[in-house]
Amino acid sequence: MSRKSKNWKNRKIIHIDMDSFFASIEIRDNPKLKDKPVAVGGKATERGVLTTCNYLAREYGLHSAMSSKKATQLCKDVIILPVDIAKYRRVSAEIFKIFKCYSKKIEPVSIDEAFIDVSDSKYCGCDPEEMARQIRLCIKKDFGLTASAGISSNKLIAKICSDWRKPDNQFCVYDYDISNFIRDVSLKSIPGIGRVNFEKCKNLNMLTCKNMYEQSRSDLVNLFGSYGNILFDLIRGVDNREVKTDRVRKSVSVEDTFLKDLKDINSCLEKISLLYTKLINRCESSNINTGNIKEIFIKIKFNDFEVISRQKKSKCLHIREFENLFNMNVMTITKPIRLLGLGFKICQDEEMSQIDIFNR
Amino acid sequence: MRVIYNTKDLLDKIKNIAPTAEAKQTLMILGNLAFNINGNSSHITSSDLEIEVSSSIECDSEGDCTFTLPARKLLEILNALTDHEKVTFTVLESKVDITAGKSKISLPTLPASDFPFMDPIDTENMTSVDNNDLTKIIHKTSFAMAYQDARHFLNGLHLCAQNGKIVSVCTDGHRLAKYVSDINCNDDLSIIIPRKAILEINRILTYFNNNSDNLITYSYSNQNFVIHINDFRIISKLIEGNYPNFNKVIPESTSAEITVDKKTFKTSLNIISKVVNQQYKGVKLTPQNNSMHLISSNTDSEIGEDQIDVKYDGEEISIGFNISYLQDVIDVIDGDSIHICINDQNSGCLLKGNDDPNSIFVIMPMRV
Repeated sequence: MSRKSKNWKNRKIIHIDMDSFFASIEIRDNPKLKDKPVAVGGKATERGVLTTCNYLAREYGLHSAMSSKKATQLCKDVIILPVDIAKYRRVSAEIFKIFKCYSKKIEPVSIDEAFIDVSDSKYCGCDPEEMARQIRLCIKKDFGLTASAGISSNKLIAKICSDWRKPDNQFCVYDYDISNFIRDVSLKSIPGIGRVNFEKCKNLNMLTCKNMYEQSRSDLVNLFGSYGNILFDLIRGVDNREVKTDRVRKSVSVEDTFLKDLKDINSCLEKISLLYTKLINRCESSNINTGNIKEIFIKIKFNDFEVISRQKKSKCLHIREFENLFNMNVMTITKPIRLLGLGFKICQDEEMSQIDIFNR
Repeated sequence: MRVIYNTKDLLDKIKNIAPTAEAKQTLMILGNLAFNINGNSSHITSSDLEIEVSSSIECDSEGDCTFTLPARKLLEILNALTDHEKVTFTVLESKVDITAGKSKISLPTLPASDFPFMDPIDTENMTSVDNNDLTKIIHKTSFAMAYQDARHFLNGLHLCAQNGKIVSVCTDGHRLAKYVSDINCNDDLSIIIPRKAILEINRILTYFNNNSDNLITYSYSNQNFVIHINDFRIISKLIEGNYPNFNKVIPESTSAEITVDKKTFKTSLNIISKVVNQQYKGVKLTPQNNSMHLISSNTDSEIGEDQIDVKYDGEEISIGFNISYLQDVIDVIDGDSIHICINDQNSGCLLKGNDDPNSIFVIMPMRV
């Protein structure tokens, strides 16, 4: 046992996060783009948004989910490339093969992000830091791409760590140091605290985890509902979530940003019909079981970028359900609609689920 | 102009025609029944644009005319007027006065010319069908039709040909029912009749007490299906699309078989069902050594258990099922005992009755 392995009394979890994955692949495949601000996303003229951009573009204030139009305003030289998701998936699948060399317990978070539980791995003298270093080196050598890694004894801290020294670096927090480390972490980094909750925290003068320590468990439940219970543990660096190897799909959705804003109910209903077909096709092509639906939802983004989503309990995926949900919530179009989305949540009750006859 | 009906006869007709007209219609006229008075015959029609149900009734009238009346309202009014033998409709320009004795109700009408009658279907080549055969087709399979499934072709009853006989198949993706009837047919038969049409046909058959003297004829085209049951006519659009290959999901071979007395099984499931989880309705069956353990529970920590005698000599196995799916099959399967043929916890199981050679039922398990 190496000296370093004494630092690990509990689990050893590595979080790998690829650095500006889509943009890096494009730059690798076209070296002329190197040293230029590059983004991947939809065209500015077609109301596209950025999926990612390289670090040079980030210096201009560009970020993912920003509209391409705004991106070109902020950085007129930015090169926006179309999304080639099939290519990124191929690369991603190859990179995941590297992870499998180190552990069988891999939880993909997205196409460019994964947790690896290396608690039982004997490689590198059982040292997770060395394993992360090797994984990153392999990715760089084999694919010409860089990744950042976070190493700790739970998923929360590992994820925060991978962001700590980005890009092309890694950061580790040992068990005994977690409570010290988490104190000064911004609440923004805690899963579940999005824009709205962070505003709420800011109004209460709480910006970092330690600012929240005075709140009791019941205070947090009063403030954030049942999530407050989880939050109480997270801000103390306590996270017992397992690295789940069989990632269960929780929801399926499709959405579309329109070339021209929608200004009346009928044109919205027409688009809902098109989106519905897209949703069904997606379920069929991806073999998604539609037999265990918990609820359906719609998402509406207005031209001032306000986003609302509405959901209702439903067990069936019928177009009328979506139309009703839309009609019940949108009586009149008060402002033009820029984007519509449809989707459904799948029942996560692992105790019982009905097997589909055509789709086992 | 006045039209006089026998109240009870009219009520009986309206009870079977009105349900097609839905209360919440996008077009107001679809909430109405169309009356076409021709001499002493009155033809009444309802429609939801997919299905049209109509029938004729005798009346005393002063001449020919057409009008429409709100279906549900009329049904309620006639239900309230049953003490009166006769009911009189006085048809005015934009309203109809309904009078019985000294009671009078005026209802506004919509012009019959706006009523969306479906295109007439060729009724010359109608094929007659025995009441019992038709009843069995519906009874044995329709319970497994899907309801508002995204796979629209599952929301109906599929009729196709097998060795010159009509085969009926329904599946909602969780269970499947197949029945081979005694009715001869062309080899190219392959249609899907929408769920609502099947329910309407079933209602009218029930109204006639599934009488074997019923005169039933049917016909179909590429788009439509028409059936006459005595003096009722139901026209329905067919569901477009291909029905999935159901033979592929009927297990060809199974590894073990549980034989259970139907009555015992039914009683046991009925007891267990009192505490079943209302959302998932799961019951776990564990057969072992000629005995079967049944258990279900719900989120209120209520647990139901039972142990029944069965014939089973396979390995111990636990399989979960939706209890309603089992009960539905028990309700339609013929014979004293049921053979439950299984493979494993994730594969469809086959249910057969000992006196039901023409029916096959498949139920997919639940992961419990």
